[in-house]
Amino acid sequence: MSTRETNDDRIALLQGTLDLLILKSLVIDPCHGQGVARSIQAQSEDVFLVVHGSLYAALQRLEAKNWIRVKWGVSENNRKARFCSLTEKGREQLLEKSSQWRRLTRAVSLILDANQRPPSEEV
Amino acid sequence: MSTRENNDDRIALLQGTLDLLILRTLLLGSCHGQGVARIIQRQSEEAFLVDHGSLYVALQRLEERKWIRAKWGVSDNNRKARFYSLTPKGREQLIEKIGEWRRLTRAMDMILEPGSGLKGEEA
Repeated sequence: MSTRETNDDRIALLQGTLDLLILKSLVIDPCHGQGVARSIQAQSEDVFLVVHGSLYAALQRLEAKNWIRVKWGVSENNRKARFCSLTEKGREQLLEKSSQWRRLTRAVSLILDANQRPPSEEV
Repeated sequence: MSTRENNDDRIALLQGTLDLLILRTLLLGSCHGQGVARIIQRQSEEAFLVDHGSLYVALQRLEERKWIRAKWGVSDNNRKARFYSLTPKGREQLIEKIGEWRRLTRAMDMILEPGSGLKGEEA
């Protein structure tokens, strides 16, 4: 679970979804952890709240899998920060995971939009 | 994790999604566990493979929360089976969870496909 459910309208990120969002947010430019979190929150119009702990756990996991690489750099406000960038392998994973996500949402929609049970021998 | 990832094209059901699919399936009428699994599989065009263990854990959880109730009955092939049906509380939860799902997919789309406008409805 990558974000927490809060009192307001924000929703919990489903397991696995955070990895996809991180990879996607790194597709154009390298970024430090804080920036990744901010961009996910802003782009989702604050629907997602990315918790610090989950974010860093995810970044570490992605680095261990060689989907991202991490280098020390200096942030806009002149502080030392670790910058993450996408590797070739990470780019492939992004495609793979985006397509998985699309298949998932399509399959769920098929069920949510069903008006009757599928014709079957003996359900 | 509610279903397992297979060698073939089937996808893993994210945590929480199985509850939603079970409740939605029971909206169409009461059903025994096997039937629920079969309907989810068929309705999703076999994208989901619902494994036995996860299904019964989920059914039990939903029953404890009083979102569904179970009664003994006889299935089409004359075997004793527990038939599950949606309670009024379950119906409320279903509406709640469908709303959450829509917000989640909408937020994901904003990040994954920025600038594409309306998305996620094209099942």
